[in-house]
Amino acid sequence: MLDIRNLHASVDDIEILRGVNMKVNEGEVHAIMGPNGSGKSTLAQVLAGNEAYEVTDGGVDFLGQDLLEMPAEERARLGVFMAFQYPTEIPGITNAYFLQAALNEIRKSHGLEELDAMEFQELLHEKMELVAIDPGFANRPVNQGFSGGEKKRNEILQMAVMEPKLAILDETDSGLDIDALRIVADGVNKLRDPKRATILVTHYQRILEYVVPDYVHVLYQGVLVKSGGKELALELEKKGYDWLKNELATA
Amino acid sequence: MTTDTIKATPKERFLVELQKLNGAPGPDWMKRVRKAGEESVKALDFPHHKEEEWRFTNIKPILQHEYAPAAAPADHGLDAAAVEPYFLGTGVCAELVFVNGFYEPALSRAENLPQGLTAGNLANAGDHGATLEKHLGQHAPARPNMFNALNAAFLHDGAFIYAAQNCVAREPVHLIFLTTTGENGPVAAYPRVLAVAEANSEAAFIEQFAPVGQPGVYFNSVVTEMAAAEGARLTHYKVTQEADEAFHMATIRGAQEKDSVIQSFSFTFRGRIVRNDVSSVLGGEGGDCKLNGLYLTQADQLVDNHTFIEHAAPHCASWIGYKGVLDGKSHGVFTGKILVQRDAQKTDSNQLNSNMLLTDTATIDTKPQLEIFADDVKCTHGSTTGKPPEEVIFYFRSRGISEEMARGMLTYGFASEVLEDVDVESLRSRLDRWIFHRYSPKKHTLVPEKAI
Repeated sequence: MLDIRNLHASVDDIEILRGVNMKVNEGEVHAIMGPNGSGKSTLAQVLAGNEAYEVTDGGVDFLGQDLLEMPAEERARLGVFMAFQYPTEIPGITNAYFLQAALNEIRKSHGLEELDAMEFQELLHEKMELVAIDPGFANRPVNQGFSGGEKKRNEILQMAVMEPKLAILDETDSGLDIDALRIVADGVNKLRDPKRATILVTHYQRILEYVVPDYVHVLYQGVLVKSGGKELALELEKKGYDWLKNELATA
Repeated sequence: MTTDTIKATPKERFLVELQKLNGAPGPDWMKRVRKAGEESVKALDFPHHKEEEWRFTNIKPILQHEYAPAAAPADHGLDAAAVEPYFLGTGVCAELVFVNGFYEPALSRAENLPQGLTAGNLANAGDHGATLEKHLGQHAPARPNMFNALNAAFLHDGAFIYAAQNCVAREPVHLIFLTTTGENGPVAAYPRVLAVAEANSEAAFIEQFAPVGQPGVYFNSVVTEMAAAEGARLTHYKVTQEADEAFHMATIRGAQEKDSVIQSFSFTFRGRIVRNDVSSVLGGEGGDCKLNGLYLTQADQLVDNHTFIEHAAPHCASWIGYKGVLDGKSHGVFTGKILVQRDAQKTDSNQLNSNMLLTDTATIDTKPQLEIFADDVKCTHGSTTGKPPEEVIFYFRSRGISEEMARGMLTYGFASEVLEDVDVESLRSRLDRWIFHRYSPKKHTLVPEKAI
């Protein structure tokens, strides 16, 4: 489904990704771990199409198409979804209005009828129930005045409404207390599907106790230095990132 | 228009028109206001942009034209069906239609007035002689503003709203001021409104301005006076949707006694040059004044909102919140002036002017102006001008929404926030739809749930 080859990317002329290679198949959950500054968020942003990040080399295929050639909105319509680490506040625009617009843009691009307000309302309430979000959220401006945990849950709600093929969660677990983490993890698990792939970008092993990954990768200084099964996350948790840094330094 | 057709100065032309009306009929109180107006027109000059209060607003385009004053009810041929689209239908206690400033009873509805509320036209308000004597022309006098002088000098009719003591009229009176674009050259109309709320009463009214007939030039010079007695609440909404070639100069003036509340909303959507001078005097302790506004400009429009609150008594609160969205080559002007008199201790006054510029050619001149003579006060002011940040646009795009549509939605969101405090549902949803349609990209068929 997703094929990342030798991906190099930089921000403000500083190279952050220095040759990432990775393949993700339908139904798989991949965790990307790594210390701060290793390039995890850059990888997520590049896949989502943020033009502040410049791809200098390599390629990404998604469902057989050249992902890097597409603007962000086309990627979203094709089924790429990124849950933001720091979701933006949008004053004056309610969650319901925002999500209805987003979903209808996606439906239009697939030749489907747009949902009217009534139909959308029904769908939204169903999804809110699925990810355990208070119905009052529908009429609040997007993320405005939301707590950190509410913003992250709102990202999961958006994911539930948009039903992406590839979900990239950029540190969705950071800054959450254990209850909020459980709710977010629960939402992610409910949306797990044999047709949907998930990339969990995280600094901590904690969320992986609730969302069990098929593969764990370690990103360090812009390259994937280690890949393995879910036990790799436990090993990292036990030994810390310094263990890895030392191992790489002596290799 | 060629220069050789204009021999007289603009002021002389207005005086010539005024001479023609000499001896026009009217009750004594009206003649008194007219006389003060005429004397003021003679004594005053049109404001010049070298004057501080008019620095950013050049009124020359208004004075280029020769206007025929609307001296009598127009032969407009409008019927009920023609005015129906302007009616709100629900949430209002009366809908009064004025054409070129003259009341049109046959086109109006005023069956549902609550006990204690009078809503009608000035020319027939003779029963309230003492009230007219006390208030008309007293709060917004003919001097020193030339446009107020013209309005007074040409006074013939207008709207009169009166809430008797303890009367509670929550549903507003809807005043619909239509102006004809005129087959025989541009018309000048002088709509006038007087709203008086006696002690512990509550009343609200909507002023709506729109053209009828073919597109064209006209000039509306409007004066609105509001008097809130002790403990009274007056809510004022103004919706300005003049013809794209038309000019509109308005003075809205409040006078507040102890513990009274005046809230004024001003929505400016259309008109070539529009100026609103909105002000209130907090003359008794415990008063509260809120001035809110939204101006959406485009093409070569000039919209000037000049707000002013005078704190003349202690323990009063005021708020000025105006928002603007400026498109095309349009020009916005905002002034937020606060005067705190020496005795007005414990004043709490805040203001915010936020603007969104949609093009590089649109401009805004914004200026807070605080004059504080008391020493125990809290006065804040702020202004913001900008475009939506790229990270916000990216958030939309990452959800499948194009940049164009994102900008439209953001502009709608920015502007429609002003509607949150509009209590009249029928008015709020209509304004919401207008704002939505102005900024939604054409193929975007979404209806926001707010408008349903």
